[in-house]
Amino acid sequence: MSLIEVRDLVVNFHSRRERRRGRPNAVDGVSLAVRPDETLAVVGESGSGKTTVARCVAGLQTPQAGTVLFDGAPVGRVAKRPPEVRRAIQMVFQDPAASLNPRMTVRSIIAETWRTHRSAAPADRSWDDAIAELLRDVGLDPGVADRRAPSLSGGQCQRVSIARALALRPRLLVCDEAVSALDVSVQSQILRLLAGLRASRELAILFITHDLGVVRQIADRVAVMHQGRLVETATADDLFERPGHPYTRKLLDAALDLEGA
Amino acid sequence: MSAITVRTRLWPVRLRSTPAVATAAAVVLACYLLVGLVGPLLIPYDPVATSVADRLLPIGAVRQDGTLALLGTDGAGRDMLGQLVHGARTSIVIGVSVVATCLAVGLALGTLAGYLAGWTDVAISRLIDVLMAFPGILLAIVIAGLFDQGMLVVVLALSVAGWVAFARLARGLTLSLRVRPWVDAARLIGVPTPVVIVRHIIPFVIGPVTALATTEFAGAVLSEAGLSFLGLGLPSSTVSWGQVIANGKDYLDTAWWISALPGLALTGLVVSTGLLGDHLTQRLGSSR
Ligand SMILES: Nc1ncnc2c1ncn2[C@@H]1O[C@H](COP(=O)(O)OP(=O)(O)OP(=O)(O)O)[C@@H](O)[C@H]1O
Ligand SMILES: [Mg+2]
Repeated sequence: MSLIEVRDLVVNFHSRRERRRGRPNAVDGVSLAVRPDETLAVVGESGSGKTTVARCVAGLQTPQAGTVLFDGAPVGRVAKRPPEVRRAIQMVFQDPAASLNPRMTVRSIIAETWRTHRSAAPADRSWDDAIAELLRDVGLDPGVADRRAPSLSGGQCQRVSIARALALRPRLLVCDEAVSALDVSVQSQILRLLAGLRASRELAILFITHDLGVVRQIADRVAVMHQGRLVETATADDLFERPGHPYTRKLLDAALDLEGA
Repeated sequence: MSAITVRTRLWPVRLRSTPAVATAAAVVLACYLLVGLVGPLLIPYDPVATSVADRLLPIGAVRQDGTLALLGTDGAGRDMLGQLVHGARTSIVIGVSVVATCLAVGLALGTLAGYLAGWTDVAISRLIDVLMAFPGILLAIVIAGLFDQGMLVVVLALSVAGWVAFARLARGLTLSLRVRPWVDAARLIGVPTPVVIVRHIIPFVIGPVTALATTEFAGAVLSEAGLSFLGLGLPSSTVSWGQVIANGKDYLDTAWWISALPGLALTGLVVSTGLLGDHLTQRLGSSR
């Protein structure tokens, strides 16, 4: 069974009157599913609605129509979700520095998750030990715990964001362009980190990106979005070998042009 | 020029707010604070103890009993120095109380409106619009006139419209802060809304709001003097510069010091506070 399933999602940011005048939907009837242990990449050009789908899954955006099912049960916006569902879906954002409150230390950022979800807090040892281990798990020096976001590099911030998400032992990690703001060498470090965590923690990942190179490194399956619609879903291998939809072919050609140049 | 700022100023002269000017303003302000808070303990003054023999003594004159009236006396023979010092305390106490009330109310309502959006925002924003449609001082006059004279009434009368500026500022900043990813991350974790506002929004609002508080302090001091001048402010048992100015208006040609001294004291306080506020606005106004 799918861990998370999205059915006929419709999101429109325009007012009701503008919608009646035929302003297009930002997301227009998207359905997709992520199985446990699977990494699904959502690709598409800028403005195709990828972020909006991710935010609906996370419950940060309320769709006009459609349902989000977690473990087969419909879930609403984040404030309405039961705590265990809320815990199970965490997100890593695009902007590394802005993902962390610049006035808070890494320690208090991670501790905030446990103060909110007592059931996820480490019971058998001190929080400081648990934070140190968590930071080591994401490839950071435990000394980072006392620092704040403005003194960290983009890659370090993103690792802290991942650590914050992992602190709640989630089952689905939504990554919205999580490596787009990083340079290429740091990108592949973070992607390797995610791939490793996925294996060790039974984590499903919904990975939003516009970069097909990233898709090739991390995804099991790929969903291609174009102007708010899903045009193709395929396994990563199939997609690169036999793109089905003309738009997918165009995306692949564009990516190849970039690599060749 | 990168930006054009349109802002009402409390004084007509344009003084550039350099660090030196700001430091000078801070020093002047510190002197006022010292005089207002320590002075009344050193210089006793009784507003009902009049002395006909010592009426209208000029600056530096000697009283009947041989003591020096350093800054002269008023039409009832009361010591001007004592009135200035005790008036300073009144101004500071009223100014701080009004600003504290306005800041607390404005910060709470402004961040709530900006963060919750929806009908909360509509309700609070309409209230702000309505209050902005009245001149604040007129509202204060009406409220002060409706109740008995007293410290609490004056503070409330000046706060009723005063919180609006804080709320508008806080709401605007919150609107841009609530879409920051760190706020989304907190919502995702399930951090309760009041905690999100206090921990993830307010620390980034408080800087500009503090700068505004300085400017509003000057406004509150000036308004209190205005109310007291009109006889709507504090009871005569409490010394207020506005009252002293009003007491002296019959003697403007013969005993100018009665109105002029508290007027100068008021001007000095308001201008230095305004200058410091300007500097703080520049430094903290565009904080992240
Ligand atoms: N908060 C919002 N208010 C109004 N319109 C929005 C909002 N968020 C997104 N949109 C619009 O919805 C459409 C889809 O946006 P979305 O951010 O989901 O695209 P995206 O695929 O993530 O693009 P990118 O690759 O540039 O991040 C765009 O046309 C965008 O302008
Ligand atoms: Mg996006």
